[in-house]
Amino acid sequence: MTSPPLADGRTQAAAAFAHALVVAALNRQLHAADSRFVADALLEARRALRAADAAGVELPLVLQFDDDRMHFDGAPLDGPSLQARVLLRCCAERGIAAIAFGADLETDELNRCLDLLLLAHNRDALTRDQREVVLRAFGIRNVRFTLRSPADPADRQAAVGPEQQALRRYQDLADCLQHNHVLAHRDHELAVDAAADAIERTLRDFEEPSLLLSLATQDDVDRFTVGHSVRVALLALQVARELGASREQLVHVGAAALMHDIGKSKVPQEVLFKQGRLTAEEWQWMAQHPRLGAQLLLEQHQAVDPHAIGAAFCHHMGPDGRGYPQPLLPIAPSGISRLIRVCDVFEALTSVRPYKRALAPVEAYAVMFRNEHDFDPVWLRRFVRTLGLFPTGTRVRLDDGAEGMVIGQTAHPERPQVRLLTGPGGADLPAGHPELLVAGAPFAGRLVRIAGVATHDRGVEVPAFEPAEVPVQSAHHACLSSSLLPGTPPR
Amino acid sequence: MEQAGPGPTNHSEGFRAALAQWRLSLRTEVKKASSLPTAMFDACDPMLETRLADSAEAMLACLQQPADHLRDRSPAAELRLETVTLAELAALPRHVAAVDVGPLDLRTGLQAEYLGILTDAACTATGPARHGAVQLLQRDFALDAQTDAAALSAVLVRAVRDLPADAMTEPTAALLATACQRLAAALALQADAASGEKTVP
Repeated sequence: MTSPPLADGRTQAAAAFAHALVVAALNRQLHAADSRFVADALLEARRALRAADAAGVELPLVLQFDDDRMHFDGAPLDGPSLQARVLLRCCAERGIAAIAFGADLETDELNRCLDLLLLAHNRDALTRDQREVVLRAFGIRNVRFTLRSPADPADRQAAVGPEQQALRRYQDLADCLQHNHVLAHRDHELAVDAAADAIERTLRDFEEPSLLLSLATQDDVDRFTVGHSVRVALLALQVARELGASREQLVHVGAAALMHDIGKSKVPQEVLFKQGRLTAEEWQWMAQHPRLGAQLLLEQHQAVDPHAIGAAFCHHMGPDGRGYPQPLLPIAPSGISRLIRVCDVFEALTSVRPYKRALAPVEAYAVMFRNEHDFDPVWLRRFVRTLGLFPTGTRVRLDDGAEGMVIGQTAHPERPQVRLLTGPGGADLPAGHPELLVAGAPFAGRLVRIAGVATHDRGVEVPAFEPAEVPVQSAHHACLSSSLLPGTPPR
Repeated sequence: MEQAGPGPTNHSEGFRAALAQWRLSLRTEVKKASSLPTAMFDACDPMLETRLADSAEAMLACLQQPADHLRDRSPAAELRLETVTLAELAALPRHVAAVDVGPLDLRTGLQAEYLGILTDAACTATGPARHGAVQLLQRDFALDAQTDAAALSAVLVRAVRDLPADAMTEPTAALLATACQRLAAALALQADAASGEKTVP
C-alpha cells in the first residue's frame, strides 16, 4: 500500500528544525530561560539544525514567516505552524520576514534569540537602524533576521480560502489552550472564556470539522496536551453536531473537550514528558490529573461551566464510575464526559506517541471494542457510526489495487464514499473514468470493496466486511449532508 | 554493603574487563568439555584451544545476532504497535450494530456528576478549590452548615442513584454516611471561616 506522498528529505529536515524551534519557544513561554526544559529544547533544536545540514539543507537554514505559517524554500510548513501562533505573532509584530540560522549556532545563542523574539520589552529591538547593534550586543552571530518590506504587511484580514481559514482556527484553538496551560502553570486565573470563544469561532467558520481534523493529523508538536486536546475537541464536536446539538450545547461540548486535560499543567513536567515507564509515585501524579483539573477549574473566580468541570474529572472513568481518580462517592459520568472519554481514547490510539506507533482508526475501534466495558456502549457506537469505520480523509486501497480517499460517510459505517486517486493496480485513472464510488456497492460493473488502509507509516489489511443491519439515520442527518451518488443512503 | 576496591574507573574499562573475563571463561569451558587431557592441547596443537574458543565465541555471536529482517527495522518499527487481528476487524460491523443507538442527550447525568465532583472537592481539596466547591454547593444545591444530616444525605443520594449497584465498593449506606460527615464538616469549616470564628479541633 502506498503511503501518502511525503515531502522530500530536505524539507522534512527543515520542518524538523522548525518543529524544534516551536517547541523551544513554547518552553520559553512556560519555563524560566535557564530551566532544564528550555535547555533540552534548545539542544534538540541545535541537533535538528545539524541533522538538516547532514540531510543536504544549505546552511544557513532560512525559515520564512508570514502571519499564518512558516515556510522553507517556498514550501509551507503546516505541521510545525499549527502550534506556532505565538512565534508567528511575535515575528509579525517585529516585522520579520525570514530568519537564517547558521551552522555554528549554539544553544545559548538561540536562547538569546528567543529573548529578542518573544519578550515584550524586546519588541522594538530589531528595527532596521539598530538591528545589527542589537545582535552584536546580544552576542548573536549565527542568526540573521530579514525584515518585511513596508509594502508587504502580510495582512491577516485579506480574503483567504477554506484551508487557510482552517489553519487559523486550528491555531486559535491550540493558542488558547497553550495560553491556559501557561496561566495554570503560573497559578494565574485561567482564560476559560477564551476556550468557549475559540470554539464559537470554529463553529462559525466550519459547519463540518473534518477539514480541521485532517489538519490535526499534521500536528506533531505536543501530542500529550495541546494537540491532543484540540483533536479531542474536534472529534467531540463532530459527534455532537451529528446528534443535532444546539449551538449552545456545541460550545459546551467543545470547550469542555478542549480543557479536559488542563489538570496536566499541574503534573510535574518530568513525569508528564517522561519517555520510559512511570514509577508508582509518578503514576500517582498522573492519575491525579483529572482531579487536579477539576479543582483548578473550581478555583477560578469566574463561573466555570459544570460540563467542563465534569469532563476534566471524569474523562478516565468508565460508565460505572470505575477508572481514576477515585472520588469520595462513586460518580456516574454525564453524557458529555462519556463522549469525551471515547474521543480521548480514540485520539490516543490513533496518534503517534514517543513509545508507540499510531493505529489506523479501524484498528483503534477493534481495540476499543476489545475493552468495551471501559466505555459507554451507546456513546462508543454513536462515535463509530458518526466517523465511520473509515473516517473521512482515510487513504484506502480497493480490492482491485486502485487507491482512493474517503470523502464522506453513508448510513453503513463500513461503506464510505470514496474518491479514486488511481486506477486498478495503481495505474493512472483513464480520462473520463468515474471517480466517485461507494465501498461495497456496484461500480463499473462489479462490487468494489476496501482491502486496506494506509496510516502515515504502514498499510493495514482489512477483511471483506459483511454489512450488518444498521438503523437508518434520522431525517436530521439526511438533511445535513448531501448524497454524492444516487441510491446511496446519505448522512 | 559492597566494599570499595580496585576496579574499573569508567564504563568503558568496565565493559572491556567484562569481555576479557567472558573470553577466559569460554576457553576454560572448552578445555573442560574436551575429552583430551589438558596437556594434549598444547602437545597436539598449541593453537587448538584458542581456535576452539574462537569458534565457540563466533557461534554464540551468531546466535545473538538479530535476523536480517529485524536488523533492517526503521526507527518507527521499533515503537510498540498494538496487535489487532483480522477477525477482530471483521467483527466490527456486528459490534457496531449490536446495540441500538437511540436518541442521546449530552446533558444526561450532568447534575449527579456535578454534585459528586463538588462533594469530592469540598471534602478532599484545600484552599481556593475547596472554597469554590463549597460555594457552588451552597449556590446550586442549597447546602450549608445549617443543612441537617437527613437533608444532606437526601441530596447526596441523588449523586449516586444512577450508578449500577456493582459500582459501589462499599455498601451505599456506609459510603453515604462517610460522605455526609465529611461534607458537613467542610460546610461548617467554611461557615466558621466566613464568620471569622476559630474552629474547634
